[in-house]
Amino acid sequence: MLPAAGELAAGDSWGMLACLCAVLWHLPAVPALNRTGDPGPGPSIQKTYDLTRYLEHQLRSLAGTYLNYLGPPFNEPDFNPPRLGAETLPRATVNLDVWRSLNDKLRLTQNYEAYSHLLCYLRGLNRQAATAELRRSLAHFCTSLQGLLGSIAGVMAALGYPLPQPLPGTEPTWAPGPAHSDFLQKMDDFWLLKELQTWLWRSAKDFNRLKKKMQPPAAAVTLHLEAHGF
Amino acid sequence: MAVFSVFQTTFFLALLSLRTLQSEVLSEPLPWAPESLKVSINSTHQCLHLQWSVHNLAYHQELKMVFQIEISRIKTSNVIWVENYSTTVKGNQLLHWSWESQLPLECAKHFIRMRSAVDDATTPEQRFWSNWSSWEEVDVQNSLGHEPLFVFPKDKLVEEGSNVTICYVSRSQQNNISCYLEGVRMQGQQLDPNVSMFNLHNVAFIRETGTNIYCKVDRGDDIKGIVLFVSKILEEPKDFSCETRDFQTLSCTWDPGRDTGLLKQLPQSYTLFESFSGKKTLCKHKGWCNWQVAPESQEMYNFTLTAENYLRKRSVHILFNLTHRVHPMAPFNVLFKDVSVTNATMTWKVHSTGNYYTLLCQVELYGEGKVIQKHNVSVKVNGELVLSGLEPDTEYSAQVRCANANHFWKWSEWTRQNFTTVEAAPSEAPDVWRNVKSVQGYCVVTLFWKPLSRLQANGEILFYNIVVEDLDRPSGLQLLSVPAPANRTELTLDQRAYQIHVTANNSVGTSPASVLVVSGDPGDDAFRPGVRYNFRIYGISTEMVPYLLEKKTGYSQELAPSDNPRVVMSNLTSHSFTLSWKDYSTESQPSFIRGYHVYLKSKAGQCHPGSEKAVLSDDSVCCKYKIDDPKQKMFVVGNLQPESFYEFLVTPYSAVGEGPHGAFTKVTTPDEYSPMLIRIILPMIFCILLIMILCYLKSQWMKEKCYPDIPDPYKSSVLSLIKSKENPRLTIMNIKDCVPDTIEVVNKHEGTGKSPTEPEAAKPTYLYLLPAEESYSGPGPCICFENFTYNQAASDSASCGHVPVPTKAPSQLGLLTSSENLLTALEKNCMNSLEEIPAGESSLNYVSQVASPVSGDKSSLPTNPPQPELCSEYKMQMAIPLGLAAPSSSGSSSLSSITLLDEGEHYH
Repeated sequence: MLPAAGELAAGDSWGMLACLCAVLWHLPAVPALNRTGDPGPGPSIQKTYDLTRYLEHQLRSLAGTYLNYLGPPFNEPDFNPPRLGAETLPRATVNLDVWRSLNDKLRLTQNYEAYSHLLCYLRGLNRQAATAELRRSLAHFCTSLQGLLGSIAGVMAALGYPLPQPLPGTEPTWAPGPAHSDFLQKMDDFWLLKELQTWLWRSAKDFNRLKKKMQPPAAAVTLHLEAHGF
Repeated sequence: MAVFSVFQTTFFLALLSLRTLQSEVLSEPLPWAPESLKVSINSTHQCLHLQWSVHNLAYHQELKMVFQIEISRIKTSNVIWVENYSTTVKGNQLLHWSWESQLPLECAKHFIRMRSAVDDATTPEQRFWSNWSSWEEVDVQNSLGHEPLFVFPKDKLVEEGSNVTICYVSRSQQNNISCYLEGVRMQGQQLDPNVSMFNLHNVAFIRETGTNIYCKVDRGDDIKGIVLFVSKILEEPKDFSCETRDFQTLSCTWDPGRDTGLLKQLPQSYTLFESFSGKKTLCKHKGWCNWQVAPESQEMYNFTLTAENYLRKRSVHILFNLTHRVHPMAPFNVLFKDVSVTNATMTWKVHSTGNYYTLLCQVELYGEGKVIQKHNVSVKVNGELVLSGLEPDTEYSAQVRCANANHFWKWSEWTRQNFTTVEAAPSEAPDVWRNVKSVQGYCVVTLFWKPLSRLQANGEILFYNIVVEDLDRPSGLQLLSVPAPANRTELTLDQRAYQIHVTANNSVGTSPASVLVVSGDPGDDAFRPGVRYNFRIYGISTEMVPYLLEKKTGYSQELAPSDNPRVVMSNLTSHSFTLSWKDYSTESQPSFIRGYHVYLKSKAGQCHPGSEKAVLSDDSVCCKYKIDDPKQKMFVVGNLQPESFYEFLVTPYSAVGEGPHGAFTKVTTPDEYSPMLIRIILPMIFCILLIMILCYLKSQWMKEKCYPDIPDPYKSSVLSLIKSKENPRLTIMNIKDCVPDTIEVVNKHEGTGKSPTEPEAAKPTYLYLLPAEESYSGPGPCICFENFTYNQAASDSASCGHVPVPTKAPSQLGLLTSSENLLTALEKNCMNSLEEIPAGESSLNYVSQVASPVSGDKSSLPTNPPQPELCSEYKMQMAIPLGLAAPSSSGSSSLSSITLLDEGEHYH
């Protein structure tokens, strides 16, 4: 099992800055910018990995603010309620063996689908927020998440995988009905943020795995060329 | 009587029939009892809704009835609410009644029943109630579902300060359930084994997302919660007022107070209602709203502003006349015309407010940032104002605002515009100075002038005109124009007299001329260096009367002082001397004297504080004292060494230097002690001389006082010797005890002046005591004895201090005829002597020739006194050792004799 989201504390700005620097560092690796030749999906995966790390830090700050806005017990560090009303949220936690056995396509598809859903929920959260500052933060994060989704789509395209098509009518909606109590709604919000955090952690591992997989050892390449020569 | 009995019978019958009727009514149910009672619930509002009809009420019948409703909780016997509901019932009408429960309805079963009666307001006690309906049970718990835990009420909205009851319903009795309010555990009250309730009193607003309350099973994951939305209490809008600016729109504003918006509740809404027109508008904004003024020129308006949220409504009213609430628009088209040197006409327009209104406009004129004029103008449509008293070529700013003149409400905003008055010719001649130099036979005149001030220039000065007029040749004029920023020019003239006119010019005209004359002879420069000039500057009044403005003193060129002051030295002591130069005149010097330097040369070469070392032109080193005040013309040179040689010099200094370092004055400080000696010795000599003169003049008196010829035994120091030995037997003869028989003084020798140190030459003095008794037979004056008392050196211890000889001794002698007088006198002396005798240490004792039986020791008196002998010679008085004196003295005790001493017979 991947580690579950245990802490949703406010992220430190230094961490965010470090991640931003990392993103900038790897900008030359973006295929659109790198015109020296076709580098393959490697740089794109690296970029996606960096973006997940950056979003993770960003979310840490946002979640802290939002959970304070919901009030206790949701902002208490040890609050761990059952996952009751959040059944429709895509689950990030998965059995470790299952996760290892995932092929690239499935791995990427799961990521893409999860963030598609989470982004949709998150936009609902934004519409609901009462304070302007919180709405601004949420909108900013949604934009970043949209960028991550595009990045994953780019990796999938580079590897030749088709994007999963959403089935008509299965588009998740954010419509808290009258039967849905405000407390359950808050619980859903809590789980949305928590699941998002877990997904960002998982994606970092996913893309790290993909990254390693896509970079064959340099020595092996050399040997292969020598074999051709002979 | 018969009539009475008939009446009585009728009364009893009537009473009986009434009772019968009553009993029938009570025994049977009323025809209009409540029926078809249905109970429904509204969980959101925690309300029970009752619906019923009245049995057997005719279709057209209308009856005023009262329904008594009872509500029980948990069990029917636990009645928690009884209410009488009065209403008018029509036939077949369904009746409704609602009740809001403090406890959420899901928390407990409720039972409701009711009965009815005809409502007779006059006699409410005599209501005839119908039977109770059967209990209607309301049990919401059954419909909750099968979840293990529920918390109620769900997402309630209350105002701050409300009391709220919360409960949980658990499906399992074994579970231990804890409930939390904002993370803090609450203490509840158990209603039944599965239900507990919690009372929250005076709830407060915490956040817009509500107050979280949740319960959870202690050993389980299940968690259930609710959000209690606590709204701030809606405030009454404050400062509600309306005004118009254009008679088309009324703009109403107010202070909305705090926002009561929550996640669950929109912020309060505001509605504006005008009662005369009956119109209403929902305001889109929180603090203001616009209202279209009715075209039919409605003057009076009565507005009601209502603030409303989910829980409460608050309203405020205002009633006003539209014309009293006119806030004019800012004036526009502010222009200045006919701007002259000192005047300008300001015009402006105001927005039309109808022909009936006059506006009051206020104009403020600003010059250099300050208000210099204020005007009030009445305006219908166009405003006009003449501004006067302005300065030429000056920028001004004027602003105008207006208000309703008849009913002042508010000033409009200011409208501001700038203007500049036109230029005028400069009003003052430039202030010109000259400098004349002679260069190679020519006169070079440099002219300087100060730029005119803004008030004098009356515009921008463009150039200066210089007209040089040759005074010798009146036709010879020379014109020179200097562009404006310059403030000087140079003219080269030949050595003739010229008159020079300088004028400043702006675009409008020329200033008055500044005229000065150059004599043409540079040699006549009257000022010489080193000469002090005193100026008196006079102003000339408008009446051409000169008056002194100032006195000035100066030098065309200062020179170093040429003379040193004549210095007088005084108060020369061994350590200091004083220098003064009072007669030195600072005003007759070739420069302004600023002070003095005092130079002091010494062999030691050390300078004391207050002075500094200075090296003179001859390389000699000396100490320099500086005096900053030219009026201080005295200086004390201190800290000098005695018997030392010094040289000093006082020289003045000015801004250009100091006086000549001429000859130093020499001085040697005196000895340190000679003055002191003179001070002491001279008075001493004088004193001694005085004493000597006194002694000489009073020698006789002195002698008498200190060296009397005959000592007084009572004053003798011998007495002290006697006393000192503490021998009581030794005493001085007391005259009192002597009874003289006859005293004959034969001769009296005046002081011989012989010294007692010459006993051989001393002539004894004799006293002859004449016999008083017949028995006493003796050959004539036979008793005589020589007084050798002081022949011995007993007088050595005598001193002037022991000379208490009575100065009136001669007179006492005269009184000797009276024995008593004599005794008294002698006794006095005797007693005094005894008292004065100190305990002596001398080995010598004075032994009186006459032993006194009174003053002497009586025990020592001889039992057989020796028989007196004729012509027996009295023993010579002599100094004897102390121990031997007593027996000898007793030998003559019986003899009454006395030695009378005259002053001439005192020896020393």
